[in-house]
Amino acid sequence: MIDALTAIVVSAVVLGSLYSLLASGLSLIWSTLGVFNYAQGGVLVVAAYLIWTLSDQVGLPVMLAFIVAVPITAVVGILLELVAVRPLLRRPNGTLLVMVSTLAVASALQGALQLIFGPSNRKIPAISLDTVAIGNTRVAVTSLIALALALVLIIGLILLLKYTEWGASIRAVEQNRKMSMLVGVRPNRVYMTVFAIAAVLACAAALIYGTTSTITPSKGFEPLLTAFVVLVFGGSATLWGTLVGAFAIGLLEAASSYYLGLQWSPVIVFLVLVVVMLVRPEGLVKGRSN
Amino acid sequence: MNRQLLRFSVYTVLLLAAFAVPYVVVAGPERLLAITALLYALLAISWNLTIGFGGIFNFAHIGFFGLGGYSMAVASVVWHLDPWVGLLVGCVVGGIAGGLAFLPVLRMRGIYIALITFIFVQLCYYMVLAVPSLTGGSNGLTGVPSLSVGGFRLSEFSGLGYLWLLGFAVAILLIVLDSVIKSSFGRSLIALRDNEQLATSRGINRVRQQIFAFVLSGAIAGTAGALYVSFFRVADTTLFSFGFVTLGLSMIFLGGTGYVWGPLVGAVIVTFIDKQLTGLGAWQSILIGGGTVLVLIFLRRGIAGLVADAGNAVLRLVRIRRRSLTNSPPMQQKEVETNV
Repeated sequence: MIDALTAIVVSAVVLGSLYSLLASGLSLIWSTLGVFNYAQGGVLVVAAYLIWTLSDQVGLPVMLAFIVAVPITAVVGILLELVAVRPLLRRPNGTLLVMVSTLAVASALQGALQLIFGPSNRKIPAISLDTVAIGNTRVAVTSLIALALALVLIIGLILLLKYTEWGASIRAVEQNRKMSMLVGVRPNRVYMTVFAIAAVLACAAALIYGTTSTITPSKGFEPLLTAFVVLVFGGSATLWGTLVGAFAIGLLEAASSYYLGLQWSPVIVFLVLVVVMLVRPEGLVKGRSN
Repeated sequence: MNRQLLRFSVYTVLLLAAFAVPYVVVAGPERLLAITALLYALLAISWNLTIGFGGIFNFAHIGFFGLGGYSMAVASVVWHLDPWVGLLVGCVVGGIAGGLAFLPVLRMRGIYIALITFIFVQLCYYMVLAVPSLTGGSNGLTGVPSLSVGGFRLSEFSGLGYLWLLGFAVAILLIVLDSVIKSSFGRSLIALRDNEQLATSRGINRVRQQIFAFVLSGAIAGTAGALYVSFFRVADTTLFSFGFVTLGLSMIFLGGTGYVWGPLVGAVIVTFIDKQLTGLGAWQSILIGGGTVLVLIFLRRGIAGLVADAGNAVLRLVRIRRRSLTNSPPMQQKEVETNV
C-alpha cells in the first residue's frame, strides 16, 4: 500500500514537473499575447531531439547537452514568433490567425523532424542512474532533478516577473499594451522575449520527457494537450495556478493509470476537466484575469 | 430584382455543374481524386461557418467529422442497419457533438473554446479506443457497405453515384449556406464576430446564435464524415489525426474565409496538391504546414478574395467605359458589396 503510494507520488512528481514547465510557457504567452501557442509541443520535441543528438550522437554529458540546447531552443522560439506570430497578431481576428499558423508550424516541424531523424523511438540517456531510498522504495535521482528543475525555473520566472524592471515591462504589456508603449516599452521586443522564455521552459520539459519516455517526431501533441488541460484546471491567470494545476493533473494521471490502467488515464483527466469547467470555470487558483 | 436574378442563375449553374461533373471526370483515378476533393469540400465549407463567419475558435470540427464517420460504420457494420440510416445517424451524432463541444464554453471566456475544442478531438480519439467492442479499437471498422439506390450501388463505375451525390451535396450546401448567411441568423453571427459588445447590446443572444452555428456545422460535418467512411469503406482513428486538422484549415484559409464558396476552391486545390505530394513522405506535412503559414501571411482573404477583387475591378472598368460612352454626368457610385 505504502509502496504503491510512493510509486504514484514519484510518477506524479515527474509528470507534474513536465506539465508545469510546458504549461507555464503557454500561460506566459497567453497572458501577454492573448493567444495559445499550438507549436509549443513541437518546440518541445525539437529540443528533445537536440539534446538527444548532442548527448547520444555527439557524446556530451546529458546536462551539458541540455545547457547547449537551451540557447538554440530560445532561437527556435524567437523564429517562431517572427514567422508565425508577428505578421498576424495585429490583424482583425488576429488571435485566430495566430493559433492556426502555430498549428501549421507544429505540423511542419513534425514533418521536418521525421525527415531528419526518422520515425523510430529515441531516448535521451539517463542523467544519473543513482537512486535514493525514501522509506522502502528507491527513488531515481532523475525524478528529483526533474522536480528541482521545474521548481527552480518556474519560481525563478515568477520572481523575475515580479521584481525586475524587465519583468515589469512584460507585465505592463500584459495589462495595457498602448499605455506600456507610452512609457517606452516595445511590445514586439516583449513578445519575442516571451517566446524565447517559453521555448527555454519547453527545453527543460524536453529533458524530463526525453529521459523518462521515448520520443518520436509526433510525440509533441500528447504533453501539449495535457498542458492545455493544466491551463484550464489551474486557471491560466497566474503561474502559481499553473504550478498547482500541473502537479494535481500529474497526480490524477499517475493514480488513474496505476489503478485503472494506462488507456483510461487520459479519459479520466478529460472528464475531470469537464467537471472543473462546469463547477469552477475560473480554475482552481483564482487570480487576476485580462 | 437584378441581384435576385443573378443569384438564381448562379444557383442553377451550380446545380448544372454538379450534374455535369461525372461527364467531365471519366477515368477511375481522376474520379477518386474528385470524390476526395468534394468530401473535403463538405468538411471545409461547413467548418468555415463557425471559424470564418462565426469567428469562433473551433478546432473540433475534425471530431464531428470523425464521430459522424464512426456512427456510419457502427450503424452499418455492427448493427447491420441500412447505410442511408447510417448517414442520418452520422448527421444527428455530428449535430449533438457540435452542441456538446460548445457547452463547456457557456461559463468561460471565449478564447477558452480554442483549448476545449482542441482537447475535444483527442477526447473522441480516446473514447473510440476505450470501447473496442463497438469501434474495433485501434484496428477500426472495415467492410462498411456502399450506399445504394434500388439495386444500383453508388460505388460502381469508379464511384459514379458518389460523384453525383457529393456534387449535388456540395452545390446544395453552398446554396443553403448562402441563404443562411444572408438571413438574420447569419448576419447576427457576423455581427458577433466583428463587434461582440455592440451586437449583444442590440439584443443578439451570443450563446444561442453560436450554439446553433455549432450544431448546424457539426451536423454537416457528421454527414460528411459518414459519406467519407461509406466511400472509403473503413473507419479508423486516423479520422481524428492532427494532420487532418491542418489539412482542413489550410483549405479554408487558402480558399478564403469570407466567402461561402472559398473553402470549395481551397479544398479542390489542396486535395490536388496533396495528391501530388503523397510520394514525398514527410515533405508533405512540411509543405502543407509551411504553405498554410505563407497563405495566412501573404494571402489575407484567400483565393476567393483575389477573385472577388478582380471581379469588382472588371465591373468598375465596364461601368467607367459605359459612362464615357454615354457621356452622362458622373453618378454617385454605389459600392459593390459581394461578400457572399
